[in-house]
Amino acid sequence: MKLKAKGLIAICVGVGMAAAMTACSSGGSSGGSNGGNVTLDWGFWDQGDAGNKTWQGLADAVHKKYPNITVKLTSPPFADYFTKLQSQLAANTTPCIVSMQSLRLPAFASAMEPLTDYSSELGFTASDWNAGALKALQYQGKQYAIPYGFSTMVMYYNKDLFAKAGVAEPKNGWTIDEFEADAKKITAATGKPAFGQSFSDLHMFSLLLADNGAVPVTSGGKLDLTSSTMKDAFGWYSGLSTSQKVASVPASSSDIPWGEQQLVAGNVAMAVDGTWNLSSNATQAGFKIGVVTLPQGANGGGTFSANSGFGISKTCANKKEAAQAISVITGAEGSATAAEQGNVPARTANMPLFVKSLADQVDPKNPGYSTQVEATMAASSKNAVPFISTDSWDQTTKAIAREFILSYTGSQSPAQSLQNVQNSSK
Amino acid sequence: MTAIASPPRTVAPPPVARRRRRSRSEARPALGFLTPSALGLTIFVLFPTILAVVTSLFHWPTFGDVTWAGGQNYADLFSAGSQFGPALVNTVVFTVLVVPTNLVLTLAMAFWIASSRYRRFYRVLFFLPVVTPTVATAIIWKMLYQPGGMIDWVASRFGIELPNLLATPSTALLAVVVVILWQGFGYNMLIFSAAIDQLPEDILAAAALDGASPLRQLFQIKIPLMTPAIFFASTVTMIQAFQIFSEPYVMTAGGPGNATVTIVMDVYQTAFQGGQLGAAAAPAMVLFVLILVITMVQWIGQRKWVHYE
Repeated sequence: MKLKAKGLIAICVGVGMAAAMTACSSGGSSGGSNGGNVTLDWGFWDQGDAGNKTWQGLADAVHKKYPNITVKLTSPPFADYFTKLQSQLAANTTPCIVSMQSLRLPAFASAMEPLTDYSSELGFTASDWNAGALKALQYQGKQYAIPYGFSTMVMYYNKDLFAKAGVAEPKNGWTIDEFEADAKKITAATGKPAFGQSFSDLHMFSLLLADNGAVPVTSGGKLDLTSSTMKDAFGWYSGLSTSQKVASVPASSSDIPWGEQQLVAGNVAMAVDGTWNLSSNATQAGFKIGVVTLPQGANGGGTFSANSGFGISKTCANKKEAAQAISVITGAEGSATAAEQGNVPARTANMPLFVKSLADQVDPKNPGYSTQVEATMAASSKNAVPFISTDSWDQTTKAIAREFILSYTGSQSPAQSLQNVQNSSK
Repeated sequence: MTAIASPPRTVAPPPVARRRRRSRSEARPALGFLTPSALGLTIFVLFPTILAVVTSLFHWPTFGDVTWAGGQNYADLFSAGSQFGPALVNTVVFTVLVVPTNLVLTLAMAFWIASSRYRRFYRVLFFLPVVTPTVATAIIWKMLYQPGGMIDWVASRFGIELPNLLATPSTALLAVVVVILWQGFGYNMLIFSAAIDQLPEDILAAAALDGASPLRQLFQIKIPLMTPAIFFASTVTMIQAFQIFSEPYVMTAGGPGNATVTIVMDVYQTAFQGGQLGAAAAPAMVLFVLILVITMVQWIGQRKWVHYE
């Protein structure tokens, strides 16, 4: 009897699985509508406790404005977000509202819905937005996501460590030579490497761009790591740890964010990071943090800009409702809320709110931070170019982590590492 | 004639008929008992396996059109720039390092604690890593290994300057092997520990009376009696070793270079980072066949060295 019952359960489970599988393959992704009520999944990489609360608040705001829509936010870590998205696409369980980074758009555009058909739901006026931010989320002339922010890569530094080493704080417009000199002095004075290296695409490549104008991808979207400018720039960057001995090397290839984390932890004095962390870095660090443009070499190319936004997945069953939800999340009010919580806004009108939030939250402990941020953001946006990526970028970033660490530790020549990554990406 | 010829015939058929009748009467319950597991095996093992074979024959992106590839995905495994070659070599090296070391260590440890008063406590203690989530273990070990971490710090106290253990090709693989050994240690030890407890007292007593030295008892009596357990442990450990993924993935992501990439990691990265399901199914099938063949060899070989009472 017992066995029979067990068998019956097994059969039921089996049949249930089969039914679930067919439901999955035919039903598209999230968003069951039930008597006009719609639940939409929203995938967005982890923003830290405070950040997640802000975005959860905006998800709730959608429900307030459109009581028939409930938005369910899930937040995997950034490093896993795009891998997870791949598997969700394969399993047809992609969230309705997809968060997309400008760098990854070329790889995922075909899984997303162009937003041109949803302008009435989105209530969208292009002039309200930072033009660069909008453009970065277009692919082949079509808007695929509405930006929530606009960021450039800048140099963060530990004011306390600079003071301890008796080195004057850097100023916007400083040079690579000055950066090296400061790094050497600080390394000598503190006994710890002054600069934190990284494998993160934006964090590393922006400093190479600043050094000699090297870019990893051609304007046509092809990976190009073997140009002579790239070899020179990457040779210099690797040399920061191997020959100049002023840089902290990531502990392993799986430490994709390294320098930026070491900075906040107080272990290094300088690291490149995006302006999206202007607020969180300043509040998390147990010391006074400063921010300055990337140091430029003689042929320096400025810095990279990148931003993220929210779009609709192709498999979403309730695209109209998803567009309505995005209109609330990125709307004037939503953007203002996000700006007040320390998110650099893509809506130009909300910029003062962001600066004021820094003045209220950070300035009391770190005098002059908000003024410095405003000046640095203005200076770095002026010479920022959008980061262009390839359609297999996610895989390339993992190959970069595996190969480049060999050059940071000195066990493989920089040119060889570049060649290996180039070979592995077809 | 008929009377003479018939008796044997009439005598012989009954057992056959009885057997047939019995087998017929057993057929239905047997079918009933078999169906659930056969169904489960079909749905959860056989069907996905066939699906994987089919997938491996197509260019199958996570989104976009599926096209016929024939043997292309398999041919690509051995093309220049492919990660599969190093992954295969690393997987074999991992297995060769992990399986014998694990078996020798756990067997030795099991004998060592067998005579202890606190052996229950030790069993629990050594089993703890097995039940700890692998990802958590791997992260902790990564922190121990990294420059400025505990291992580096202790070594520097003794004036030894260690390289960046997980970032240097010559040490990364060994560092991962140590973690895998530490993590999987308790399981086999528990099996061996149980086998030691079940060793027949009378045989051991007889051996002692006959004057067999402890060492001789160990190698000629205890270990031979434990061969079924050793066979089980070696088979399972071998299969697990071929499927190593989590520890190197969390600790090194396959790096530096290709130093710690394994076949399962190659499958995962091709499928979920590269978005190529067909190209990912091909190495998975190779691994499947590899494990199948080695396990078959083990099963055939066991007749020679495993003693069942």
